Amino acid sequence: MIGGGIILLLAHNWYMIPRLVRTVISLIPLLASQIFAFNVIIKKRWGFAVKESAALFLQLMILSSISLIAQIYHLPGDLEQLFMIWTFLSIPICYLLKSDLSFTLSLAGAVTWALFDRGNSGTAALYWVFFIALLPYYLAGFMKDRGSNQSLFLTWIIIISFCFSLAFSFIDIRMVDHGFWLIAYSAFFVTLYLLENEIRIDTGNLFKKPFLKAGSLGIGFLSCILFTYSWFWENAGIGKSGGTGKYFPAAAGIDYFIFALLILAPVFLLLKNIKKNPLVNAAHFLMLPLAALGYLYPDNAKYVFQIYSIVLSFSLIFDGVKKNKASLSNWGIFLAAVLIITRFFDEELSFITRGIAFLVLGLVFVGVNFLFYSRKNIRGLK
Amino acid sequence: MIKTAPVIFLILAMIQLSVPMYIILSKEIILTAGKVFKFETLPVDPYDAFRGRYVSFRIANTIVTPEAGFDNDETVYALITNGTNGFSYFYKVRKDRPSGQDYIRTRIDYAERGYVTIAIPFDKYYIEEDEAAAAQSGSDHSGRGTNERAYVGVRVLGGEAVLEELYIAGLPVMQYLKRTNR
Repeated sequence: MIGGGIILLLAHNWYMIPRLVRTVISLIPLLASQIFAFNVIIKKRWGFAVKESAALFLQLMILSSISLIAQIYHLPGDLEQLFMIWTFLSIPICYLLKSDLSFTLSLAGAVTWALFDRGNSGTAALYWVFFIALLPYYLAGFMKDRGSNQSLFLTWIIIISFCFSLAFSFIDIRMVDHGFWLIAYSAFFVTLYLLENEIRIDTGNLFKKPFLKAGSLGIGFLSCILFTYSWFWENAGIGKSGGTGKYFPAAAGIDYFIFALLILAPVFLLLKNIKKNPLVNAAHFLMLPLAALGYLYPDNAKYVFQIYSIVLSFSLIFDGVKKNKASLSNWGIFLAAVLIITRFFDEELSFITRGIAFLVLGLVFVGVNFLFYSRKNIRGLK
Repeated sequence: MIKTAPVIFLILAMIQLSVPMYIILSKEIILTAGKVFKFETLPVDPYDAFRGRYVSFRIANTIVTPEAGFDNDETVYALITNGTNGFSYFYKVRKDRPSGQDYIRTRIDYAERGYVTIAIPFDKYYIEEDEAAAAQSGSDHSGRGTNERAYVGVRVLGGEAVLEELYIAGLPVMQYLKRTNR
C-alpha cells in the first residue's frame, strides 16, 4: 500500500522541478526498496509478511522508476518493453526473498508482456523462457509440501497462467490450421483431470484438489457449452486459415512441441492409472479424441459433443452413486443442466423437448439425493 | 564466509538500477550533444493511466514516398531535412543505416502502394495534470488561422530522438501557459 501510494504521488506530474533533480528523485524509491529488501535478506528473523512486503515494494518501485524516467524524457508508452524489462528484473526477487507474491506478479508480468507482444504481431516465445525460469521456485515449494497453503495457491496460479499462455501460444499454429487450439485446450484440461490420480492435494479447504477442479471445470465448460454450438466449429478444420497475421515457423515449432506434450501426457496418465476410476477417467479422456475428431470433421461435431456431455454427466452420476459421493453425482447433474440451459440459445429444440429434459433431470437430481439421504440414515441407524 | 543470497541480491540491485540509469544517461547524451530539429505538430488528446496527463500530438509530415517496398512494422531509417518554412520534415526512408546524414531509427506504421507512414517516437509531452488541458487546447488551435502555431524541439543523435520542448506560439509550453493565464 505504501508502494502504491508513492507511485500515485509521483505519477502526478511534477513539471516545475528541474529535470536532473526529477531523475534523482525517481530513483530514490527504488533505492529505498532495495535497502529494505537487502535488510530483510541479511536479517533472517523477518517473517513471511515482511518478506512478501519487501518483495512487492521492490517490484512496484522498479516499475515506477522506469515509468517516471520515461515520463521525464517524454518517451512514447512502450508497455511491451516495460513489462519485458520488469518481468526480467522481477524473477530473481521471488527466489531471493522467497516470495509467492513476487512469483505471482512475475508470472502475471510475463503473461501481460506476451499479450502485448502478440498484439504487436510478435511471437511471445520469450514467455516460455520466463515460465521456465519461474518453474523451479514452484516445484521446490511443491516438493517440500504440496498440501501447504502457499503451494496450493501457486498451483492455482500456474494453472490459471497456463489457461492464458495456451491462448497466445497457439496463434502460430492457428495461422495455418484453425482449430488446433481447441484440441490443445481439451488435452490440457484432460491432463489436469487425470493428474488427480497421480498428485492428490486434499487439504480440506476450499481450494483443495486444484488439478481435479480445474480439469473438471475446463472439460465441463468446453464440452457442455462451447463445443455444443455450430458457430464454434464453423472455421475449424484442416487447411482453414485462422488469421491473416505473420506466421513465424520457429515460434510455431515451440507450439508444436507443447502440443505434442499435451497430447502424450493424458494418454500416458490414462494408461498408467487405467485401474483407478476406469469409468470416469475414460469418460473424461474421451473428450480429447472427440475434439480431434471434431477438428477433422467439424460439420457434426456439435451433436457429438451434445451426446458426449450426456455420457459424461451420467458417468459422473453413476460413479457418485457407486462410491456414495453426492458431490460427484451432483456435479454430473449440474453439467447435464448446463447442457440443457445452453440449449435455450439453440433454436433447434422445441420448448416441449426442453421442458421434458428439465423435468427428467430434476427427477434424477431428487432421486439421487434421496438415495444418498437414505443411505446416510441407514448407516446412522446401524 | 560470504553468504550467497546477499551478494546475488547486490548484483541484482545493480542491474535493477542500471536500467533507469541507462535510460537517463543515453537520453542526457542526446539532449546535450544531439542536433536540434523543429517539427510542426497537428492536434489530438488522451489519458495515460500509468504516467498521468500528457499532451498528445501528431507530427505534420510523416508520410514519405519510398524508393523501395516496405512492410508494416518494418524497421527503417527516416532521413530528416529542414524545410524553407523553418520546420524539419522526413523526406526519405531507407532500410540501411545512413552515414553523414541526419536520421532517426523507427518503424513503418502503415505501408501503402506509393507511400509509407512512419511511426514517430516523440508524440507525447508529459506535463502537470491541470496544465495538460490548457496546453492541449493551445496545441489544437495551431495552424488554424491563429498565431498559436505549435511545434516540438527534438534532439537527434545516432538515429535516436529525444523530445526537448513543446512550443506554442513560439514559447515553451509552460511560459506560454503563464503568459496566457491558462
